[in-house]
Amino acid sequence: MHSQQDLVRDCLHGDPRAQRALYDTYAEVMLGVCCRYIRSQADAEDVLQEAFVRVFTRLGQYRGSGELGGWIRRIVVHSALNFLKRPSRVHEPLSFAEEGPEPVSDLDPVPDLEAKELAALIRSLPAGFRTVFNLYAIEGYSHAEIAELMNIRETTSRSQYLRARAALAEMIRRHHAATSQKQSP
Amino acid sequence: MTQQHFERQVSDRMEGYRVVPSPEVWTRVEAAIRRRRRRRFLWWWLPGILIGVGLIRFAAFRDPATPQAEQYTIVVREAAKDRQADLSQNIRSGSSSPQSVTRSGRATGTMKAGYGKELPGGRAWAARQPNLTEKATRSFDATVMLGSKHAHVTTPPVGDDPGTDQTVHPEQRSPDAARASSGERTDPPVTANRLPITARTDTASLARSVSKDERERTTDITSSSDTTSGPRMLTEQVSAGSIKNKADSSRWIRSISLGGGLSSIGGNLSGTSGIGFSYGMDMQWYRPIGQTRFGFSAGLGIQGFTTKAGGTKSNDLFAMSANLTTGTFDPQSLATGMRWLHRIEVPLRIHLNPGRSKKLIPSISAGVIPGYVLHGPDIYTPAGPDPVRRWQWALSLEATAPLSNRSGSRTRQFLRLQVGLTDLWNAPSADGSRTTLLQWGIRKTLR
Repeated sequence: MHSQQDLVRDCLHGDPRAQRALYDTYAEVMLGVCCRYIRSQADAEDVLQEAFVRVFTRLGQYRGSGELGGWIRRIVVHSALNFLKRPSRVHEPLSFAEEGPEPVSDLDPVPDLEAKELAALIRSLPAGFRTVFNLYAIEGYSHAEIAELMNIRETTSRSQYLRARAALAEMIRRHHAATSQKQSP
Repeated sequence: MTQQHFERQVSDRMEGYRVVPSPEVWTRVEAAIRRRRRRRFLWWWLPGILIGVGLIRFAAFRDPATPQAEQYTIVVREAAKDRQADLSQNIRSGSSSPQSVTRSGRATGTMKAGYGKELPGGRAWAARQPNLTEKATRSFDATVMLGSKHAHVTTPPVGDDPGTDQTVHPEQRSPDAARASSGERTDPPVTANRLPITARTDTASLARSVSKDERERTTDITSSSDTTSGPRMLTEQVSAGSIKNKADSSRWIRSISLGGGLSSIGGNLSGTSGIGFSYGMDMQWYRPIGQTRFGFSAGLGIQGFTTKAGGTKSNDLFAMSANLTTGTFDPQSLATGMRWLHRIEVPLRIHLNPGRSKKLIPSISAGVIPGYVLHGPDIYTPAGPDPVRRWQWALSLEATAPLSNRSGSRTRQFLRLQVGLTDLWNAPSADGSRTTLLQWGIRKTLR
């Protein structure tokens, strides 16, 4: 059984088994991260591949001070953002239009949704909402950091987040209502 | 419910969210890291390999009776004839260093990598070669560049004929004028005269590489034309060269003996994410001709860049090159191609990419090329007590936009806009002239 330090050291030495072990440890979680940002699973897998290639080529930069999973996660998030910023005819363009539901202050509690269902709802948000929501609510980035990452204003990030949150809450409410209706005789 | 509560709930749910990737993902990751490792290995060793190969060739061609030299005797003779013709033209027209400098800059900025493709004829080609067997790969790289140069020359009036050297660079002056400016004149400079010079420059190059296993042979044919128009100068320069590596370096060595340019090979801007380095080495060897004692030129270049596709942050481009030129020159053997005597040239090129291209341009780069040239008397600057010193710096800007970059296609077309400014002046500045050369060009590369 590899400890994290051993795993990193062996990967740095180019040990294929260690590389595979590291991939196996984190691939599923990281693909989950990708899938929150990117709608198509094929695209998400492409991003995962790109991210893991970066992980292995930049592993020397990992100083071991923080959690390896967190370090990999940052690379995965940045890879996903790069993918979204890339102009493409296939995937949805990343825009931060000031439209959508108005922000609300009162939100219902999140019902007992499965992670898969909640991820699907997040994925169905428009790209701008989805990206800012993921970065702020789940990854824990500040609005200032998001503004820098996405090359937008901090106020835009705030506004996008609040609208995304309202939209997601509404989608959760509808989803819950629909599933409750199905379950009731 | 508070905002933080909602976020925490969503975040907690998402902690356990996992998606199983398809097995192909790992296969592709594994292949990519193996490929990168091989590439990295190559980058580390390439300069050493190039230097080693160059030294071996250099040593081999000290003896003209080596079988390699004999094998290409006919070709070499043809190349020598062409070169001699070009040189005669250059000498008549007075074309010299400024164009060499700009050519060097262009050569450094051109990253030749292309692609390798196995062709049906490769096997047949290989069978005809004495040293190569089995499969061969070929690659083609064609570049066309059109542009113009705008020079601004500042020279002090000399003697009784203030117009004599107004329009020419110090190295393009007549011997009398150069002698006058190098200290033999009596009148001190009064005012500087400025005269714009415009020039047209066309460059077309076609490179064919054939490689088999670790062997590589490259034939590079470049044709460039510079027409400079001014009140007293009209220069047309046409040069052609052929480069062959590995199997035949005699043609390469002889073909680039015209200029002191440096060559570089390396990665290309593919429009997709990537990192590349370019190492270049340029060795020239001159055979003893007439009373020429020794001729040697060595260049070494390194370039590196990162690019990321799309409008994302991109490009830390770094490139530096060093080139050393030294040699002697016998005025009696002008026609053989030796133009300089006791010339030392050490241009240094540092190229930095400011790096954020937010438009549909994968790369914008800017570079500064400081240099110092020290050379003794030659046909333009006759023998004198002091060698001619010249400082130079050049600034180049280059933007590259993809014309087509179809996924999976090996054919990529780029359009490059290149703007360069070269400033050269002699030291001490009180005696010297100063030329500011602005050059622009649009280059289309089919790769």
